[in-house]
Amino acid sequence: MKDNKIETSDFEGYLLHKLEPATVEIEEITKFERGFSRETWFVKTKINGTTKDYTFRRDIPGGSIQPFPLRLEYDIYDRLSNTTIPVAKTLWYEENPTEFIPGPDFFVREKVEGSWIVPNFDNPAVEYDDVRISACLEHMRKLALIHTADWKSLGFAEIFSVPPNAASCATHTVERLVGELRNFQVEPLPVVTEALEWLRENAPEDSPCISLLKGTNGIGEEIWQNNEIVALSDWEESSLGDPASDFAHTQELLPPPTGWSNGTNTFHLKDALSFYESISGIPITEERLNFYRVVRSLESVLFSHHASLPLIAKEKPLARFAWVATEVMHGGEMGLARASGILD
Amino acid sequence: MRPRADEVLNSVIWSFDTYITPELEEPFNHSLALTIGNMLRNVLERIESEGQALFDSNRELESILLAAKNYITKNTDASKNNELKILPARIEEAIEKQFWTEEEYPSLERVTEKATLLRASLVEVIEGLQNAKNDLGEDEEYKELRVQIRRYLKNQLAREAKWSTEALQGLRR
Repeated sequence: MKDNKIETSDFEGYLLHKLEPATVEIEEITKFERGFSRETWFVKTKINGTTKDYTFRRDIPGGSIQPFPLRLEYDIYDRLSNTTIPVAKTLWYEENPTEFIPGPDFFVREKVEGSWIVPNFDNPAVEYDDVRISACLEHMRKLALIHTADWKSLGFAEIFSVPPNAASCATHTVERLVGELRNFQVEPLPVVTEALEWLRENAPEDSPCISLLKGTNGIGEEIWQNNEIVALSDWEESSLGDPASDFAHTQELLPPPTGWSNGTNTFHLKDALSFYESISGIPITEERLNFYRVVRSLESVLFSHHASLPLIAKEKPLARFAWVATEVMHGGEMGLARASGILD
Repeated sequence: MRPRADEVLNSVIWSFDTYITPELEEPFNHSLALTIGNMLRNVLERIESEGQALFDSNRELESILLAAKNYITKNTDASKNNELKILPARIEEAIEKQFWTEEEYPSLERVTEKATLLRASLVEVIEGLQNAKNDLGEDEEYKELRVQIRRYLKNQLAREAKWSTEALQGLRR
């Protein structure tokens, strides 16, 4: 292993050590280019002559951009492994990386075949609106699965902060984020202080339930195969709260204000939310969704400020920390400023 | 003296973008190179703008903090919020604290330390005013002070926008 690059021989030596098979052949290793918080390696192997694909996940140099430990991410996958919510099955968490793969902790899960790309989703031609509508509906089905999961029996109350009741989900989320920020805050953030007044005064009290939330979701976060989501990935902003929050995190899979057309009808946000409600029983109002879009800005500030820590400590973090700590931070503050009236 | 740091950095950015980034075929390395190029441009903008931005910010902040000190001193008894009582002295301390002498050229680090102290004082003022809203919220001077604070925050975001490209929009960086 040279610097942070994991070589074929590193994986080979590690798997021989860990699994103690007679033979290990590494056929291919690929480092996933997406995701700015953690790094993911796909390793195609033959163990005792049988093909087996693994996914290795660990923090990037500098640590985690999110104030969300890798172990917690593993615990989420582990709790969901035997549910109807599609996730990659966890295999093991490596707390003591051996001499074969020095560096931070990592965990290993089964690789799910598929791609984060939905073919033609990005093609702006109207004829592909059907593709977008179909992908949106599939995503609604999977969000409904998550939001109706029995998080208590799955053990999520043991690893997440639990709102006292459904009505206080929004306030609980804001105060939880503020509390997390205070844990590592290194400089005053007056825009956040000013905006907190707006967040506290406008926190909705009509969440119908407390649900497991995925956090970041949508295009780039899930694994697709034949227009179906076969694995929900990137749970590092997961929590318990109002399901409306997840819709504020959805990337590209909600219709734009102009809607998508399937030739005869135009499919709008309200249609997506109606479909979701019909299968989940959970109403999502645009008021709650808009509130959580502002909370999303607070979350951006939270993880962006966290990203500044290894830079300030003059460790050797990846340049992505610098980008997040500066430009993403500014975007988060702008979002808070727009909502709270600092910007006209 | 010439080339200046900004002139050197400009050349480095052009060379990196033109000769290094396009040659990186491995997707992760290519993505990282785009981030590096973007951050070099961010640093270049900061070299050119940050000194003046901090100077302007500190001057504006001192003016607002003085206005806050005067208002709070006048209205301490009107609010049931006891934390207001300690603020005038703390504001004065933040404004008066010197981080460099008259003989020194103030380094960016020293000016940033001054800015941090003033911003910390502003946070205390905002929290104090928010907590006193029930008692003082209808007072015109209270409202005007809050407007001034928001105007400063808006101006500061505009100053910082000079070196920030809007994140997560446009081409991958």
